Amino acid sequence: MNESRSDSIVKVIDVIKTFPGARKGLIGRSPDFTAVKGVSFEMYRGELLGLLGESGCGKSTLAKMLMHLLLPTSGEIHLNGVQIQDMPESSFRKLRRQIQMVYQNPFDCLDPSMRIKGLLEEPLKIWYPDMTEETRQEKIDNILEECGLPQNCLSKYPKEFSGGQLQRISIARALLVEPQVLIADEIISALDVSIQNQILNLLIRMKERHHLSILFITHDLSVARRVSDRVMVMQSGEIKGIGTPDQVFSEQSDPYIKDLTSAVFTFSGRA
Amino acid sequence: MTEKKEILRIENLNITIKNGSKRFHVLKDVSFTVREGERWAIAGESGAGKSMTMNAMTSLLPEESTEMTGKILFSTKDGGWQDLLALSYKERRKFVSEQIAIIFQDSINALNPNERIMKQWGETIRLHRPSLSQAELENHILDQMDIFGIRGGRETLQHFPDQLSGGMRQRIAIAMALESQARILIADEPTTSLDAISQRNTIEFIRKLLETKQWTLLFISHNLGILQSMCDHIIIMKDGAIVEQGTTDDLFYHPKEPYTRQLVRETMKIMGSSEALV
Ligand SMILES: Nc1ncnc2c1ncn2[C@@H]1O[C@H](COP(=O)(O)OP(=O)(O)O)[C@@H](O)[C@H]1O
Ligand SMILES: Nc1ncnc2c1ncn2[C@@H]1O[C@H](COP(=O)(O)OP(=O)(O)O)[C@@H](O)[C@H]1O
Ligand SMILES: [Mg+2]
Ligand SMILES: [Mg+2]
Repeated sequence: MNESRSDSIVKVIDVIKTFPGARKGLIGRSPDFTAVKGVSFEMYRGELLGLLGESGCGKSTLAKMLMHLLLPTSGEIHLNGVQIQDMPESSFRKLRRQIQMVYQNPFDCLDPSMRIKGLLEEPLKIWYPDMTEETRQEKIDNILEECGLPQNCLSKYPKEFSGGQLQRISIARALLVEPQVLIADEIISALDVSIQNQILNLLIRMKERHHLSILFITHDLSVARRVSDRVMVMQSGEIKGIGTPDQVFSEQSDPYIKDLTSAVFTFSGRA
Repeated sequence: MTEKKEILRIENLNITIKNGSKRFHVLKDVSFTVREGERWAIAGESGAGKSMTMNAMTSLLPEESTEMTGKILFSTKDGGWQDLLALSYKERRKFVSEQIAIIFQDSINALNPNERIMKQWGETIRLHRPSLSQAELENHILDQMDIFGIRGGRETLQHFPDQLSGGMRQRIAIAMALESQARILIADEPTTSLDAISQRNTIEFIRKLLETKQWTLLFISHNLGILQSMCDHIIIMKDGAIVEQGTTDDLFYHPKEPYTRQLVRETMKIMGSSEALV
C-alpha cells in the first residue's frame, strides 16, 4: 500500500478502532471492543466503492472515522494526500467540505423546524459566506433539478415528505457544497424497491456528472453488486475482499464471501 | 386430481381504525380463498396493509379501536364454516390459538426476555398437551431442537433469550409456535431482521418443514425473491386493498395490473438474477 495511484483520493492504512468497555456497577467494566481491526484500502476519483457487510460489522464506525467524527485508535487516514486522523478539529474544518455524508434516516440530519429552503441555504452560507444571494439561489435551483426535486419543495418542512423524497433532499444538501467524496450509509435500506432504484440511479448520475467518489454502504449484496465499480466486503471489523464485483463474488473468494453470495435470494419474472 | 378442500375464506374484509375523533379506513374489501396445503404470499410495499390483514385473521387488533366488517371464515371439522367475526373477542382469541400458529418479525416479541428458554418452551407445550410428564416433555424439546438445528442441548435451554443469537432465537420462536398443532401457519416478515446467512437458513428450514408437514402457509414479506422461493400463490396489496392475486408463476411472469408490472420490473432491477436482466 505504499504506492498510491495518482487518482487516489482517500487512503486508509491499518486503521483500528477500539471502544472502551462500558462501566458496570462501581468497579467493574465490560471488556474493550474492537469494531475495526486493521483496515486498509484506497478510494479513487470518480468511483463508486461499495462497502458490504452485515449489521454490526463496523461499516458506520469506519465511515465516521473518514468523516473525522470518530478518531481511530491507530492507523492513518489520508484525504487528498493529507493525513487527517490526528488533525485537531480546527484544522480539519477547512477540509470538511470535501467529504460529505448521507445517513439511513434523513430525520437525523434535517432539522424538522426548518423549511427545505433554509436547510439547503445553511451549508452554502457556512462554506461560502461571501456568496451572493443570487448565486446561492442559482446553485439551489440547479441541484434541485439534478436531484429531481420540484421547486415548490423549498417552502415545505421535512415532515411533509416521503422517505424517498427526503433522501433526495439529503443528497442535494450534501452535494451543494461540491464535495469530492460522498459517503452514503444505508441510505436506501428503509425504502421500497421502486424508490430504491430511483435513488441508486440518482447517485450514479451524480457520480458521473461530478466525477464524485462515493462510498456506498449497504448490507444488501444484490444492491452492492449492481451499483459498485469496486466493492469491499467487511466482516467483524475486517476486510474480507476488495475488487470489482465479479472478482469479489467469484468462486475463488473468501469462504465468508462465498457463504454470503450463496445466501442471496434472486427473483425472476417478466413485465 | 380432486380439488383440495377450502380451509380459509376472507370475504369483503374492511377495517377502520378509530383514533380519537379520527377514522382510518385501512383495509378495503379484501377477499381471498385458501385451500388446504397451499402456500400463500402476501406482498406489497410498506404500509400496504399486509400486517393489518394478518392481525385481523389472528385477532391481534385491539377491540376498542378497531371496526371490522366482512367475514373471516375458517372451515370446521364437520365441514361447515366458522366466522371469526361472529365470535366474541374472547372466544376469537381461543379459536385462533387452536387454528393458527404465528411467527412474528421480531422473535424477541414472541419470547419472554425474563424467563429461561426451558421454562417458556415447556409452558407452551403444556398448554397444548397438559398430560405430558416432565421427562417426556424434555425429550420432546430435545428432539425438536435436533429437527430445528438448535444447538447446545440442555445448556441452551438454561439460557435467557438475549444470551442467544438472533437466528437461534428465531428458530426457537418458530419451534414454539409450531407446538400448537394448528393447521395454518402465518409468518409476518419472519426473517427481515436477520442477517443474510441466517435469513437463508431460516427460510430453507421453513421450506423443509413444509415438505413434511401438511401446513397451510400465509407468508408476509416485502421481498419478492423470498416469496418466489416459498409460495405457490400470491396477493399483491397496495393502500389497504388487493391489487392482484393468483399463482406466483402467473403473477410474476404475466402480471396484469400496472402496479404489479412495476413491482416486478423494479424488483428485477434490484435482485434479478443476471439471466433475468438480459
Ligand atoms: N460508541 C460505541 N461504543 C461501543 N461500541 C460501539 C460504539 N459504536 C459502535 N459500537 C459497536 O461496534 C460494532 C460496529 O458497529 P457499526 O460500525 O455501527 O456497525 P455497522 O454500521 O456495520 O452495522 C457494533 O458491535 C457496535 O455495537
Ligand atoms: N393504529 C393505527 N392508526 C391509524 N393507521 C394505522 C394504524 N396502524 C396501522 N395503520 C395504517 O394502516 C396501514 C397498513 O399498515 P400495515 O398493515 O402495518 O402495513 P404493512 O403492509 O407494512 O404491514 C398503514 O398505512 C398504517 O399507517
Ligand atoms: Mg451502520
Ligand atoms: Mg408489516
